[in-house]
Amino acid sequence: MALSYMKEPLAFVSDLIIPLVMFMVVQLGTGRGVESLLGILVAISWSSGSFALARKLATYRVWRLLDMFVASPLKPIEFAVASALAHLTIIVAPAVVVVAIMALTVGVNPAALPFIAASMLLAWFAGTAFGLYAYGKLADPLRVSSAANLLNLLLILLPPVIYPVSILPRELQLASALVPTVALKLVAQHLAGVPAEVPPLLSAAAAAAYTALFTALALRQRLTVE
Amino acid sequence: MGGPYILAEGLVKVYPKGVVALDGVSFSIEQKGIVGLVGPNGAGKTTLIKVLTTLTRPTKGRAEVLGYDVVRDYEEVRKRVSLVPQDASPELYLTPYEHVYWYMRSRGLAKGDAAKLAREALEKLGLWEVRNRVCAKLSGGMRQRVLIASALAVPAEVYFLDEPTVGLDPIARREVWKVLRDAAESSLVFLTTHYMEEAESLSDLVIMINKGRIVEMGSPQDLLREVKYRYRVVLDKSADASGIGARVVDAEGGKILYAESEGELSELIGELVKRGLGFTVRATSLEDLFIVKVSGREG
Repeated sequence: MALSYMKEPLAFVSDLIIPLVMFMVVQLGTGRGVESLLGILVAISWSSGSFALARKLATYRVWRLLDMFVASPLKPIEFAVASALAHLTIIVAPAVVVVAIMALTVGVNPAALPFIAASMLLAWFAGTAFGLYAYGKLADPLRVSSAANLLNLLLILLPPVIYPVSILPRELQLASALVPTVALKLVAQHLAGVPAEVPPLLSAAAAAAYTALFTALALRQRLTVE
Repeated sequence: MGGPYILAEGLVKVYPKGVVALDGVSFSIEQKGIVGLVGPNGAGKTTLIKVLTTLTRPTKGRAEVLGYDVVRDYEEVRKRVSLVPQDASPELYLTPYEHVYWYMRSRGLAKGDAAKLAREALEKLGLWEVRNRVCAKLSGGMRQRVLIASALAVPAEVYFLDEPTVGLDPIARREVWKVLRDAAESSLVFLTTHYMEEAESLSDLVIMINKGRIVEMGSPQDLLREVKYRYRVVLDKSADASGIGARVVDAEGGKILYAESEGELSELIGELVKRGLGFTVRATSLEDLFIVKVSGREG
């Protein structure tokens, strides 16, 4: 029951406009637009699993629609996973647009596409686990939107996800891999064969650790019953 | 199925900050049909529904639905019930057909069954013509009917509806009543309402609740026999009813005087005419039992 961009076409534009403007700035300023586009793919994958899912669960809870699903044979985890998978399908269209821009502007090795897709899946999975954990922790579902906006700022816009790590001072470049979304972006870079300032082992270890942590935390959340 | 449709024993629910929503509720419903749970705002109606549909756990006491404990066997309960929550909204970007269809698919129904039952439910609730219009563009009453259609399309043994007809016009309300009566032929329909007319004309069994406790329970006919007053006379709120021998109750709509017999009614009318007061007369109903027992104040 995911909302497709056919039902809300403006969302397609709004989801992509800021990241693509940032890509243009990065490409014109540093020539490293491919890193920016990989970051955008990771960002939309992470966001669909975390912010979008948490917002959806919170909205259904405020609307009391969630109660109809709780009082049904559908298990809460099944509902959450199905919702997360539905949100995964939503990102296909913007991902295609970003890859097309990548192919037209900076070029992309077709052999790298499966690895890029795998990176997106990893980011979506980690984001979903994070989103379920965050939703479960917030007592007031009305605060989920403001929390999601803040986290979006802290995890997507501020750290070097859409802009290259190389823009940061040397001392901060390694440390930036400790931000989960940056670690996931660096993994995507390595898999796509794009050089990065952070060793692949470090970013892979950080991404794996965060994914495992968020998954463990999400599984401990009670999603529904008071 | 083993045991009664619903069994509640000493249910207590205390929310954080010490709010007591249920204070020792016990009852048993043995037969299918329509049960109307009535009470003022804050009486505990929604909390009782939440306990019975496994949305919240009781603080003390226990309850069973279709023989399954609502805490220990909550998954079994959830397989057999269907709920329309109070003040709920459908998913606004879905159409009524999508909403009903996908809700049933999420509950495990096959594609063909879901499509067939969705059509039937939408037709019964007068939504077939708007089946392809997104819910965001429907009126509040239609959105409410989308939720009712979603819940009632599901083949369930117990349907719980929390104030299902709030916001519906009289015609739509009667359409919903008809659907509920149809559902009650094979299942138990347990609904909450603060419309006494709805409880009286629709329910086979009425449960009155106030401040978390059951104050009356019985069929509408049995409960009406308990009302010793046969007639109610309604005066304007500012009317001077002092010195009148009949029972006087101050209620929201005005002053209500009750008469036990035709003789008493005649005397009462005579007195009111002498005082030049305007009034209306009708036979007592469940609303009067409710007012006298629960919310009225002696004048």
